[in-house]
Amino acid sequence: MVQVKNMTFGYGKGILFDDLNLKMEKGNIYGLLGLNGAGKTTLMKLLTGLLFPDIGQIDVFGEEPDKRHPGFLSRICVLPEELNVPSLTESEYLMTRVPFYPDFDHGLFERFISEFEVPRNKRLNKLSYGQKKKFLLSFGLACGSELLVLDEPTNGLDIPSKSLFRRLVAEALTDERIFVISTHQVRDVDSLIDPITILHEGKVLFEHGMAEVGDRIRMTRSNTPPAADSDGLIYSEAAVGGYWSVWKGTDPDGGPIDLEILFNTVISRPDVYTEVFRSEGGPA
Amino acid sequence: MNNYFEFGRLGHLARRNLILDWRSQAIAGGIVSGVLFLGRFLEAWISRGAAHGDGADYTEYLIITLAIWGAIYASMAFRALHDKNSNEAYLLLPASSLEKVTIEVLLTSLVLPVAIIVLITVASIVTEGVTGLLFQTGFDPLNPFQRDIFAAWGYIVIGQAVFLLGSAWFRKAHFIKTVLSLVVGAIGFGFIAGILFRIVFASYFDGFFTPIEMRFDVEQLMIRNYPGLMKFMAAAARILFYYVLAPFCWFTAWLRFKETEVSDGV
Repeated sequence: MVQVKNMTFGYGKGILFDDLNLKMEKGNIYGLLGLNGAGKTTLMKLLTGLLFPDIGQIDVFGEEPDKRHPGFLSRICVLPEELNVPSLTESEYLMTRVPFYPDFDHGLFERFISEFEVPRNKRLNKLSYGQKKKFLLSFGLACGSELLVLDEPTNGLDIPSKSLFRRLVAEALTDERIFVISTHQVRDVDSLIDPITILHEGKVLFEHGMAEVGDRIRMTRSNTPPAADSDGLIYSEAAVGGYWSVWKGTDPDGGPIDLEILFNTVISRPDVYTEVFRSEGGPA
Repeated sequence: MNNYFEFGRLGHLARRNLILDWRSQAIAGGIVSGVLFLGRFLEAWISRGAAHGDGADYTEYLIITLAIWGAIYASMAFRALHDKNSNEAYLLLPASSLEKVTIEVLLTSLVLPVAIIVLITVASIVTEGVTGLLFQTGFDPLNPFQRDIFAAWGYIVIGQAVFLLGSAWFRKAHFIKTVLSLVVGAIGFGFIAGILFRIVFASYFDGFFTPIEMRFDVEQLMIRNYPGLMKFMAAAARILFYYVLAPFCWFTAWLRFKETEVSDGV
């Protein structure tokens, strides 16, 4: 389990996170969403021990990440947004990294690399950005780490690779692993991430599973905007060819939840969202 | 799992470093061997075989190579720690800071010198063989088991410890900055020594730095006036240089490594 308790962190004198609390359970793929500068990447660095909290505690599988113990580091893997690979061949890269990850699965890596169609005979620094990402994704998924942190994993992936990515990530998840995906491309991963965590103004503003979201709000699409005083209306926004509206209450037909609209709702109407989830016994 | 030191992880780190560095080191080795071969070949050619091989030349070449190559290699030991593009991967590599520093100490002090000695020995054998066949020169390659070489190796371990510290300490241009620091340190040390000397031997001066006695043997003067102190200082300097300086540099590099992990790691 990953747990952040009453954490405060800032760069210099500015405070980025103020008394932040967060909990992540094994067997889930967490979607970490937030505006630019909300601190998604910073939070991921804190979880992996690359940054240290000013106040509060971070507990990842019973260890403090900032101790940066080798035993802890071999249980985590990070795929950053900005990729930097050495001038090595695939086999050389594996020789330099695999011995540090005792649970690395070569068979799985071979399969992922093949499915992503990553060229095998090139040095890694000669691969395109998307190919580098596919290679490192394959490594991260196969390395057996209990915490896998992916920062904007679908950036640079072509369209077929995005659906392949979703399938392979879902396959690689086990009851012993936690995946954290930070992204702005929510439509690339909307069928994958659950629960959703939204960071806003130094706090975790939203931390719910999709089933719970579906139980409490519903989304509709119409050609005309709803009346502002419509009963149960939480949020509405213009979209191409119509309007998206978010309403209190369950959709009896179990209609889809659009993550972009959900995100916009939470960010623009935090008070209403809080009321909706709290009034029905939610943890918000 | 021991979270501070394990020989298994040290081995993984050694293998990692060798895989990452072998291409650049092979190029450097090729250049060093090529220069050695070319120099000896030209010498034998110009002298039309009159010149005979002299192992002493190789010894000198080896010591210079050990010093320069070793210093440059040691200066680059912690480049991944300071490089914004690669430091995250380096910091997240599952090994402790003690292991990461220890492996660099072993590679710079032990592995690289042995590799250079073997390389130049082999290069000298090949060179002597070729020049001997072509120009009928004598066959006198490098003897790697010389006292001079082992003595030089000792000095080089000490020197490389300083460059290793420079690599951990400075974020960029580690080699140049280490050399500049040594120069500035030497100037500062000389200046302080001069001032102290001027104060202690004030009666020998007329004006700030104009000695009364123009012929001035500092060492004799010190020994004559402070024999006990001089003996103590000589012994202390010897201990500091031979036994304290390198471990101090390695230890400080480790502290700096740990501090960099925290303050500039990201």
